[in-house]
Amino acid sequence: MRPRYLLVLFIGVLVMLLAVTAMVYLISRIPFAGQGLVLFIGVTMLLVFLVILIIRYLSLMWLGYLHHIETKIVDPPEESPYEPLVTIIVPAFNEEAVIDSALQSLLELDYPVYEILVVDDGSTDGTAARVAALEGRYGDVTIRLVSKENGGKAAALNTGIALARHPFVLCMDGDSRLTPPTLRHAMRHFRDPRVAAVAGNVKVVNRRNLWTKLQALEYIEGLNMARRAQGFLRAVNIIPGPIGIFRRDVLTEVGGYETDTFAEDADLTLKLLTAGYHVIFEDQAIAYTEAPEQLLDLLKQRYRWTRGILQSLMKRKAWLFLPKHGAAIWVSLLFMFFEAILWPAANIMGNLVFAVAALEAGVATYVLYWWLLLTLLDVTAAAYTIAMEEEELWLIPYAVVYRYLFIATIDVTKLFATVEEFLGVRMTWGKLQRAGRI
Amino acid sequence: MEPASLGLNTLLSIIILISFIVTVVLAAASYTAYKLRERRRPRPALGSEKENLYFERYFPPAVDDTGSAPHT
Repeated sequence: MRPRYLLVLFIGVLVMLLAVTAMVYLISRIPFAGQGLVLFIGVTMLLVFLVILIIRYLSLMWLGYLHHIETKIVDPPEESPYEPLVTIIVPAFNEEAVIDSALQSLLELDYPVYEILVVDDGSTDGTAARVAALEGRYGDVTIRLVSKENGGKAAALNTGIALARHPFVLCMDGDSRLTPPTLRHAMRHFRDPRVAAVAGNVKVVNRRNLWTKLQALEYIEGLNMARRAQGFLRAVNIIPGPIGIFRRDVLTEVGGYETDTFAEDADLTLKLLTAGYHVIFEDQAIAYTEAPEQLLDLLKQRYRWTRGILQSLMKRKAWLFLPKHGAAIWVSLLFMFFEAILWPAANIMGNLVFAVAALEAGVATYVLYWWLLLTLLDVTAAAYTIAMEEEELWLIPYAVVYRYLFIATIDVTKLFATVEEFLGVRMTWGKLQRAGRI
Repeated sequence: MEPASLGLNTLLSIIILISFIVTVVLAAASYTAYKLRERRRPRPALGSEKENLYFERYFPPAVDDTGSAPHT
């Protein structure tokens, strides 16, 4: 790790510990006596929120750091090359705008022998024609095209898995772009026969407006921090759609992707975990993806994610209550449930109830201190994770509006999605509009 | 000095609170707008629907691993 990132990492941990201490002190100073029930409830909710927040941050950062040590120092990639044959499956539905550059990036991978299998999922634009023009051999790399009737991404991936010629498959999105060392970094983990899949590191490519910049930060601070920690436990609970690498025989064994949820990647990951396999995270297996640029598209994506994750969890609800096959998987499932349902509610209600109660009880200044410390916590967490991934440092200031603008907006949609899922409101898949930034 | 400092803190606190409440309200409004947009989206005719809620489960057939590199 470069020195400037090490410095950010060190300062980040120090500031975070100071902020946590100050928050505990601040809450202990709130005058309860004679202020009524509302303030008591508000402060109690805030305390619960704070305890959860601290446990979440510290455990994720600690496990994430252990993962970093393990993959970068104990078992560095350059000392353990492993290069079995791989089929890259690219499901494509109306990806005309981005399919050329996606295939071009795949041809530039730093890996000896692999095939690229494009599954055209009944596109109505020029996707198939563009891929057909590129079909053929490029040295030791082959591009193949398979066309099928439209049936959704899961069915397209299943077709690709069935037609793949190699024992390992990389599943991705048609609009993703992989970095050249991706396969080399990811494949080494498969020397361990218990590892069924490797989750890659997804990054936002179109950092153009406030929403996409905040999503870029979210992928690093929110999603990858958790995935890194779960990776140390060998129990990553969602292999992201833009990049997941699998043993093909294990996919066949568990039945491939299922199409009865709206989060087929989360559903498949849970199937692998509950079948007793390990799922790990490789932060150098990087896929760039195009994030929604408009707010309504972003809400559409998160609505689908939330309902899909809940559907996947409900299929295995018995696992939530009993650690049947080890604590790591149980913790991973509980974390998923917590992030999907409990955390959004706690985030919104905790902040609102405390702020209203504090104003009503005449201790409004505590709202300001609370906000300052919480923001400090978010900024340091952002600095820590950005340093860990050696990402762009200019993303750190966006942590100031991360929780109160971005996360609050997303959490409202998550709450609505949760309610609608339990009410059984009908939903359809839809397709996000892509601007072709890749 | 004390009352002025307290006043500023209170003012900032109120700004933070109002900003948060406005964000939550706008988020709810955006969610409503998203749902309205989805409702207006043209749907395929009944019986020819492509976006089914539930498809049949698919089991990929087992294929020989010929051509694979040896495990080391």
